[in-house]
Amino acid sequence: MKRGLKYDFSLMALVLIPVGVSINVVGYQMSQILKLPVFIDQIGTILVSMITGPWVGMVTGLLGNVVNGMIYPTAFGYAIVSMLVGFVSGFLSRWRWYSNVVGVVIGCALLNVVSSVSAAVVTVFMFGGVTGAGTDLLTAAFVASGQALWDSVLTTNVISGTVNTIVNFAIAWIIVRRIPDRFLVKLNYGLPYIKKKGAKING
Amino acid sequence: MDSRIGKLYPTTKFMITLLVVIISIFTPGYVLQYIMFPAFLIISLMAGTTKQFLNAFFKSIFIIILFIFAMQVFIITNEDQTPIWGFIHFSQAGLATSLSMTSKITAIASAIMTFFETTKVKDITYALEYAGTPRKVTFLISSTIQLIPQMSSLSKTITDAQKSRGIETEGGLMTRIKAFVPMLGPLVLSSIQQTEERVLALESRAFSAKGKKTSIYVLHKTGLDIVLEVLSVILLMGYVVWRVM
Repeated sequence: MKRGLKYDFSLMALVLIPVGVSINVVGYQMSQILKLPVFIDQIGTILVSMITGPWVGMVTGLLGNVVNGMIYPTAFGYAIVSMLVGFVSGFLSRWRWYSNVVGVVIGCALLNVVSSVSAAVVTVFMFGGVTGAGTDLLTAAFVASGQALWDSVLTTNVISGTVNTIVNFAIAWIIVRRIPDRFLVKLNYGLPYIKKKGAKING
Repeated sequence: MDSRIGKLYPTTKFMITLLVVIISIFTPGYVLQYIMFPAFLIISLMAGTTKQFLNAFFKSIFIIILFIFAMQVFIITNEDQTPIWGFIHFSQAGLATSLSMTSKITAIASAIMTFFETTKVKDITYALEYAGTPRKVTFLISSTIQLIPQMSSLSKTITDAQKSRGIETEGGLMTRIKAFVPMLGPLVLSSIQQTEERVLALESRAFSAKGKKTSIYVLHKTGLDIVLEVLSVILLMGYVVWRVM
């Protein structure tokens, strides 16, 4: 079956993008309420990319940062990170990596690498190695111990990113498993998550 | 937003913002860029958005600027460093780097913040649509802006409901992480339930229909808009000529 941009951006996907962005925002608010030490702001991006594919996932990531950037402009700089997370996660879902344990582990590692490296590039070149968050102390400690700035930022990102990616992905995955079959059927990429055995659509 | 500046056509304000961003990036030094901050402060004073402007500035930009200075001047190893204490040292090269970096961040962020604080999202989407952006794009932007506060208040209701059923939101780390799914799950599922209705509602109002649509909300360009737009184009061309020569 041909899978072009037009196929991906169905009306259903179009309505899901704002939902994904809102889930990002609400997820972040909840992690603040629950006082979690992790940075949970990509649940919606991962969730939407899982069930509607890479391109829609990418737009969800972009839009989330644009909406944030309207209030705090630094978010514009990190738009590329969210876009890559949505894009890569969408492809992993299309290749059905998320339907087995090995795929999930490698997929999460890949997502972590992609987001850590892209975030490190933005942090170093745009903001001189700082993010304005508590993790800067870790970066400063690495720099003080004699490492180069780039290595320090990347190490910090990989450390904090591992926890963030696992939590973001785990929550998104649990929620996708709870979505009823009759809704997943209507989505272009929902097939791998349908629980009823023997379900098959031409694809 | 109902001030003189708030009533300017969005494209005009966008062109001025873009001009400031371009000039800030390509002008060497840091004085001009730092002047942009008080300049935009005055603009937001005139537009009546000073409170939001300062609030957003101190919450995000100011902290980053402080951290950049601390990191670049005192911690990162440079060739010209003079030791102060332990790993802390003072470096002139680091100071130069941080001045040029923070001044650009300040100028660009001030311009962008002022643009979004003085422009209604409704106006932006109208201007985008009038300029020929696909309806799907403008729908996405406006519906996202509308949905976030709705979902936010719905999540508060769900959290209260789950708390009254005895979910633990305090305690050990694992307990708090476990509370996440029952708090977020109902929200996602109910919003997914609504998407189906929303698709039908959009379709019944001819969203996918081809052909030109009219808008009940209309914005007009005034004489001031045209003057400002022409002025910013001339300034941009003048700047490019001056920089290249």
